[in-house]
Amino acid sequence: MKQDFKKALEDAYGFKKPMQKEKFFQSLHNETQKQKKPVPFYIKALRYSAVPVTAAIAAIIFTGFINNSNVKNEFVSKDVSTDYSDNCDSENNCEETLYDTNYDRNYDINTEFTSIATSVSLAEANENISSLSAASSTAIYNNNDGSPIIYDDADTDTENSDLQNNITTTINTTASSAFTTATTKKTAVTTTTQTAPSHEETKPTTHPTSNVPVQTTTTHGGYEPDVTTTTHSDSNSSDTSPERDFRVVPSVTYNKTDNIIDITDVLSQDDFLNHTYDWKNSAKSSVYAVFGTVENVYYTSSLGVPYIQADISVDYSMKNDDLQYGDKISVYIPGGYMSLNNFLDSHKWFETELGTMTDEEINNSTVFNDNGNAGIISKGRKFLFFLNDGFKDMPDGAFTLCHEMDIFIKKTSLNSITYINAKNRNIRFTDDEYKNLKG
Amino acid sequence: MSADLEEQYDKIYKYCCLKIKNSEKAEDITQETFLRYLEKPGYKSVAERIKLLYTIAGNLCIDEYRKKQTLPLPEDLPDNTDSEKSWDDHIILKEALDSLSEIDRELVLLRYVNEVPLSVMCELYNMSRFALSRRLKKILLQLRISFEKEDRV
Repeated sequence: MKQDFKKALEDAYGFKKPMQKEKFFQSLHNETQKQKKPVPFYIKALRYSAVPVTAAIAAIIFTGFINNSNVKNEFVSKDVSTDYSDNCDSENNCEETLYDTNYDRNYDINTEFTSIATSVSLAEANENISSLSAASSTAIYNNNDGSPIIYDDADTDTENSDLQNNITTTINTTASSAFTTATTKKTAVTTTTQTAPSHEETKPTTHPTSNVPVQTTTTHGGYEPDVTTTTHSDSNSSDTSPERDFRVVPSVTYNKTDNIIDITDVLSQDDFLNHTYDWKNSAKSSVYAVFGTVENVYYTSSLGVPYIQADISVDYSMKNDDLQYGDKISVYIPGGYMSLNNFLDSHKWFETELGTMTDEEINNSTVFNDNGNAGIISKGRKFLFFLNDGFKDMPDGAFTLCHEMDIFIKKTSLNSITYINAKNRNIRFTDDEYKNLKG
Repeated sequence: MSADLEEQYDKIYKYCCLKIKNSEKAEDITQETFLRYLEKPGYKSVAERIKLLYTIAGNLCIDEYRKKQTLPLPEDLPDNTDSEKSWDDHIILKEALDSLSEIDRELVLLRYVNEVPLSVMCELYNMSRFALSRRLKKILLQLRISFEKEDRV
C-alpha cells in the first residue's frame, strides 16, 4: 500500500529521469582510481630527496656565505690596506686581491656580494645535487662513520600507497558507508531490543495464576483508577488444566476516550526497520512459533509506550513442544492505546507538544500508536506469531513478538498452507519453505 | 560507488527538480551537491549525512532561484501510465498536489517519496516531531479530500 502510494506520488510529481547520473558516478570512480595509480619511482625519489636537497642547498649557501674568503673580503672597507694577511682569518686561505682604490663607496656591495656568493655556492650546490641525485637511489644520509644509511624505498612505497589508499578509501568508505551503516545499526537495535534476555528458559515460565488474588488497576484516561481485586481463576473459564494456563494479568489496562492523540510518528523508528524485515530472521531467532486464536484483548503499556496484550489459545506450535494445543498464553504486541497521563510520565518532553491543553483535557485524553497492530488483533481471529519471552518490564510469563511485524494470517489452499504477513501482504511463506528453513 | 549513494542521488535530484522546476539544472545542482558532500569530513550518523545532503542541495537551489531566469517550460508528463484509469488517477493526484503549498509539496516529497527520516525533517524544517507529523497528516487528509472530490465528479 505504502509502495503503491509512493509510486503514485512519483508519477504525479512527474519527475524526469536523471540523464547524467551514470556518467557522474563513472567520472567519480575514475577520479578515485587515478588517485590510487602508482607513482613512478623517479618521481618518488625526487619527492623524497626534495627536502634534504633543499636543506643541503640552504646549508651550502649559508656556509658559503660565511667561509668564502672572496666574499668575506667584500666587507673590507676602502681604508683597509691591500695586505690581506692582516684581515684574513687564520683558517682562511686568503688570496691576494687588490681592491680598486677608486672603489665607489656607494656601490651596492650587498648585491655584488650576493651574486658572488650565489654563484660560488650554486656551483658547489650543483655538484652536490648531482651527487645526491646519483646517491638517492641508494642512500641519502650518511651515518656518523660515513657509511651510508640505506634508504628503503620499498617501505616508503608501501606507506605512500597506503596513505593514498587510505585517503581514497576513507572517501569511498565515508561515502559508501553513509547509508549502509544504518542497516547495521538498525539491525543491531532490532536484535537487541526484540530479543528477550531470558533465552535460557526453553519452557515457558509457569505463571502462578490459579487461585492467587491479583490486583488489576484500570485507569480511564487519567481519572482515579478503579482498583479491583480478582482471582485469575475467576476469569479463567477454560477447561484446560491450570498448569497449562500461562496467561498473565496486565499491570494496567486502558479504555479509549473521546480525545485521542495519534503518536504513531512520534514513536516510529522511521520506516527503515519495516523495510528491512525478513520473516526468515524471525523464524530462526524466535524461541516459539505458535498458531492460535485471540481470546481476549487488553490495551496496556510497557516501557512507557502502548502495548496490546492478546490472550491466545494455542492451536499448534511450529517450532518445538514447549507450547501445545490448548495452552493459554499472553502475547505483548506494540501498539494500541494508553492514557496521556501515563504516557507523559515516561515522555516529559511531550508536554511541550500539548500546547494549551488544560489539565482536565489531558486527564481525558488517550494516546494511540497506530502502527497497524491495533486494527489487526481482535477477538476470534487466528494468527501465527513468532515469539520470545517477554521483557523485564512485562508481567512475568508474558511473551512478546520477536519483531513488530511477526503476525501472519494463515491461508489454506488445496496443496499448501501459506502464511501471509498481516501488515504487508507481499511478505509470505509456505509451510514447506518454513520447514526447509528449519532444516 | 555504492548503491546507497546512487539511491540518494535520485532522491536529491527529485528534491532539486521540485525546487528548481528544471530537470537539467536540477541535475547540475545534484552533482554539485554530491561533490561538496564528498569534500566534507566524515559524519558518523546516517541522519547527519542525509541532513547534510539536503542542506547543501537546498542552499544551492536557493542560490539558483535567486538568479534571474525565465519561467521554465512545463515538464513533460511521464509516459509510464498503463491504463486509462491510472492515468485519470494520476491527473487527479497531480492536481491535488498542485493545490498544496510549496512547503507542503516538499514535505510530501521528502516524507513519502524520498522516505527521509522524521528526525532529519524536523531539523531541516525546524519543527518539532509532533508538529511535523500533525502537518503531514493534515496534508494527507487534504489530498484524500481532493482525490475523493475529483473522483466523485
